Amino acid sequence: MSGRVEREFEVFVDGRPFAARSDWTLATLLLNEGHFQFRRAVKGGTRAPFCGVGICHECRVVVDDFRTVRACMTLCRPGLEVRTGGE
Amino acid sequence: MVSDKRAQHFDLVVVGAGPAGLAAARAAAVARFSVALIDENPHPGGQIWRRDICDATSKKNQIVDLRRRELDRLGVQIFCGVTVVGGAHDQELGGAHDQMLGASQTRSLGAAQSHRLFLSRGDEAMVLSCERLVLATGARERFLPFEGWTRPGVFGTGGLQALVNNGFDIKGKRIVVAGTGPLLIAVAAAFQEAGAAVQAIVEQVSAHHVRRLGVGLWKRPAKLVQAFGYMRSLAKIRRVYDAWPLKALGQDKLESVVLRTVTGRQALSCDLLACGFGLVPEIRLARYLGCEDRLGSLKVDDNQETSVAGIFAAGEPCGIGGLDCALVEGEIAGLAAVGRIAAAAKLHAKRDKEREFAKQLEATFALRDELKEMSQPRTLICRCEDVTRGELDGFTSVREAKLATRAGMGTCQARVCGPALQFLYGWPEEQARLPLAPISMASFGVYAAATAKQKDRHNDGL
Repeated sequence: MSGRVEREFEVFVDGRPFAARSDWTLATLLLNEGHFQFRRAVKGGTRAPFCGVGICHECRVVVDDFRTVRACMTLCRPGLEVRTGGE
Repeated sequence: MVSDKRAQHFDLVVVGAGPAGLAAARAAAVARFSVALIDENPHPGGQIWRRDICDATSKKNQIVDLRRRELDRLGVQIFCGVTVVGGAHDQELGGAHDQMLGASQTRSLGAAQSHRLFLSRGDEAMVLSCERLVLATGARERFLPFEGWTRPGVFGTGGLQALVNNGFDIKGKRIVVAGTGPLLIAVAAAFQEAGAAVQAIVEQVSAHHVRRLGVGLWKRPAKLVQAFGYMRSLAKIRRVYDAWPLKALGQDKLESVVLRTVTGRQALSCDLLACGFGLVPEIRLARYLGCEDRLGSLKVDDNQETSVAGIFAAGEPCGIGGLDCALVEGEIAGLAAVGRIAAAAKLHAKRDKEREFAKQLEATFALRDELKEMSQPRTLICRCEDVTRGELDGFTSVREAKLATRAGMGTCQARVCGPALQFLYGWPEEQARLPLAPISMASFGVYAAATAKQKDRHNDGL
C-alpha cells in the first residue's frame, strides 16, 4: 500500500498552493484537498469529476489562464496555475 | 519508445492500449511488422489494467510493465496521451495530403487502401497512416440519470476506481456502490482494500439471477478463483438486490443516497457514491470510419475483421466480453491483420467460449424497465447542457431532441447521455462527427485541411 505520500512540488489552485506529485492528475490533487468544485454548469450547479476517465468533461478546469483541460487526464506539473469554477 | 514526428506510416496501427490492443500489437510485432499503439491515457493498460500509483508493485502494473517492455523490444512505437480526433481512408483523400506522410510508404501488406488517423496531443497535431487498423477502443460506462447524480461526490464506478488508482485517498470514506454487473463487486473490493468503508453494494437484479450465474461459474475455474478472491474482501459488505438509487442528497457535496428497495425507500449516509449500469462498447471511431454495428456492437468476422476491409476490432467494441475475451480477440486481430490466418484460426474456439460466457453475463444483468423511473421530469439528463427529462419527453429521436434542447451537443458529445437516452426512449445513438473529441484551435488547422474531403462526404450523406 501507499505508506506515506511523497510531496514533490506545488501547484496553485485558485491562487492557493497545493502540494502535488508528478504522477497525480489534477483531479486527484483537488479531490485530496477536499476541493469538490471544479466547474459551474450551464444552470449554475457545481460539478466535480464524474466519469474519472476523460469522457464526461465535468472536471474541466482552466490552467495557466488560457487552456481548458480535463483535470482527470492532466498530470500535475510544477508551478501549474489552476482556476476552478469556470464554465 | 515515444516519437515526436508529426506524420508516420506503419503496417499496423492499434487504437487503444488496453488488454486487447496490447495483445494485438504484440501478435503483429512478433511477426516483424511495423506497429504503432496509441492511447489517450498517460500509460498503457486501459481501464482494467490502469496504472495503480499507490502500489507500484501491484499485479496489474507488473503485467503492463512486462508487456510494455516486450513491445519496446519488438520495436512497437507507443504513443500515450494522444486523442484520435478523426480518420479517413486513402481512397477518399486521394494523394492531396501525401506530403503529410513524409518519405516512403511501404505496402508490405498489399492493402487495397490505407487508413489514416488524425491525432492530437495538447496543442500538437499528428497524422498516422497504416495499411491495417485494429480498433481496441474498449468501452465506457453506462450511466442512468437520477435526481442529484450531478452532485459532487457522485462518480461512475470505474471512474472512482480510476481516481483511487491515481492516488485519490478514500481512507475512512463511506461509499455506496450502486448499479449493476460484476464491476460493482470488483470496485467495491478495491475501495475496501484502499481503506474505505463500503456501506452497501446495490444491485438492480434479483439475488437469484446472480446465484444462477454463480452456478455457471463452476464450469469456469479461472473465473471462479477471481470471484472467490472478491468474496473474501467483501464478506462483510451489505448486499442489496432489487434496488437502485433514486436521489443523491447533500448541500455542496453528497451526504446521502435514497434507494428504492423491495421494502420501500431507504436512505444511506455516505461520502461518495459510485454508480454504473453496465458498459457500452466504444465504437464512435469505428462507426465514423464506416464499420457496421448491430445494436451498438461492431460486426466482425471470424478473424475480427469489421465490415471495412483492413479494419479489425477486438474486445469490448465487439460486445462487452471482459478481460479474457479481449486478450484472445486482440491476438486474433493482430495475427489476422498481418496475414497470419492459420495462427489466428487456432484461437477461434477459445474466443467463442469467452463470447458464450459474455452472453450469460449480459442476460443476467439485463437492465430492468423500472430503472426508467429513476429519473423525474426535473432530473438532468444531459449534464453538459443541463437538459431535464421533462424537456426531452415528447421528442422522437436524438436528432430532434438535440436541435430543440441542445441535449448531447456539449463537450462530452453525448458520450454520457447517449446510452441513457437510448435506454429511456429507445433512441439509437447518433453517428459521431468530426472532431471526435474536443481539440485545441492550434491543432485544429492541421487536421481540418486534411479532413476537408472526408467532411464533405459526411455532410452529403445527411
